[in-house]
Amino acid sequence: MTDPGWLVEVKNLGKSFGKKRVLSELSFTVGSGLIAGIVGANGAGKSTLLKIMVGLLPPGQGSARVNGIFGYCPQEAGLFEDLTVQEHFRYFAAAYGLSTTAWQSSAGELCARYRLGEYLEHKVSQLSGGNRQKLNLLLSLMHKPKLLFLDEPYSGFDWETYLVFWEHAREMRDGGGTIIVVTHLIHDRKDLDVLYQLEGGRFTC
Amino acid sequence: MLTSPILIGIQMQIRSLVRNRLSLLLLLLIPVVFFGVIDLTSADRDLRFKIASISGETYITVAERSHNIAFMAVALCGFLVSFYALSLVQKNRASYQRLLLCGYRSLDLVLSLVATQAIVTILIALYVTLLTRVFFPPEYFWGTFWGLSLTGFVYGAYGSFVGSLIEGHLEGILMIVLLANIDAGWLQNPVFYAGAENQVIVRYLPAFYPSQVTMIQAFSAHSAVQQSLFSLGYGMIFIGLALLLFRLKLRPLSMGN
Repeated sequence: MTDPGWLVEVKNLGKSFGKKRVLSELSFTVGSGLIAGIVGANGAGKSTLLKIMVGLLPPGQGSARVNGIFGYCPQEAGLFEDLTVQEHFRYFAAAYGLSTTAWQSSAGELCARYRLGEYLEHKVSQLSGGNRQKLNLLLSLMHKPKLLFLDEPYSGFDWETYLVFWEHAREMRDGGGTIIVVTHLIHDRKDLDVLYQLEGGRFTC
Repeated sequence: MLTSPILIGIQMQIRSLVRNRLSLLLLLLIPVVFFGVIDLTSADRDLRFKIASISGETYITVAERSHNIAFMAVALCGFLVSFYALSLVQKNRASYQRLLLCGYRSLDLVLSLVATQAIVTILIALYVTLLTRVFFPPEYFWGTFWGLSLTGFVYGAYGSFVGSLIEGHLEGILMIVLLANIDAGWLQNPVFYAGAENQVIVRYLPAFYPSQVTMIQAFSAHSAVQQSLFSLGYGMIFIGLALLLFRLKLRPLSMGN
């Protein structure tokens, strides 16, 4: 199969919830090796756009296509309250089709980097908000995807973890990976290669 | 170490259940309390009744306490398994959807949920049958266990159906209470049934056939094969609908990953 030259292609995308128009005629493509930010006010449709791109919501009009394996970190974590951190890695490794050696190695590296290692045997219900969010993020990274969709991935992170995240993101970008991140933080913008600002369902820049 | 996604799914769901100590304690305590109350409130007299699906004028005479315990065993299995099934499907809906998005096959997920539910049904039915044995000796212990397992199967399938259909937990519980209360907890009582008008309505309710299997096996030497098959059929319809809804509602639109 020939490489289409893009990782994400969005064409004339629109979406309404009832009578409320959330997204209108959005078109863009995202290539490899960059960090793209989707910014906008609360309710601007950022998460909706991300959910359509990953296939969790159907588009109202137009299309959104993704080329290749991706990782998705949702805003609401979707974790099993009574399972431990380690068990989450194991369960998601089964979903990604990773071997035992592969997931243990990947989870070990990620936990060391994000300082989650000491909580491996803790149930999610016993974790702080920040550690839950770390697990949420790491589950989307453990299969080392070349394309990542992150919906406000650092909510609840302490400053040090926030910096670790951006250092990691830049490393992935420099290694040819692409990250599409929904954010509302102004100081993130210096790390973004491309910026899509949503307002009234359309891009303003 | 397990590597099959289905086996890993079963293992994780069982672990979740076992770690929820309060619900586990309630699962163990509720039948004891219910049977205890029945034991204390039942009169010391014999009850003569007819089991609906035994043809002819065959009447069964047993102690009222035994009848009440057997009837409550059916209601308990229906209630407990359906609540568990509802929770299994509904509580982790977002997590399941995320797993599917990450590449977990929907068939694997569904099979792991069905298998977990089957294990829980068997354990609850066995526990309730053993408790029943404390109060009276059923005619056929394993036949009674089979009848209670069928009750759990039918009502577990109903719980899964409700969990797949409805996202709200309170609405789901109300739907279960509504049916389980009027069906397994009231209309299927053989004494009530004998004097009921429009008995055909009672016969079409989900607990009818499994409760018949339980009563036949607990109090008579009659065969319950036909009633067992109807119970399995009823459960399969519910479980088919539940699986269809579950796949339709949770399966991501693009399975590109």
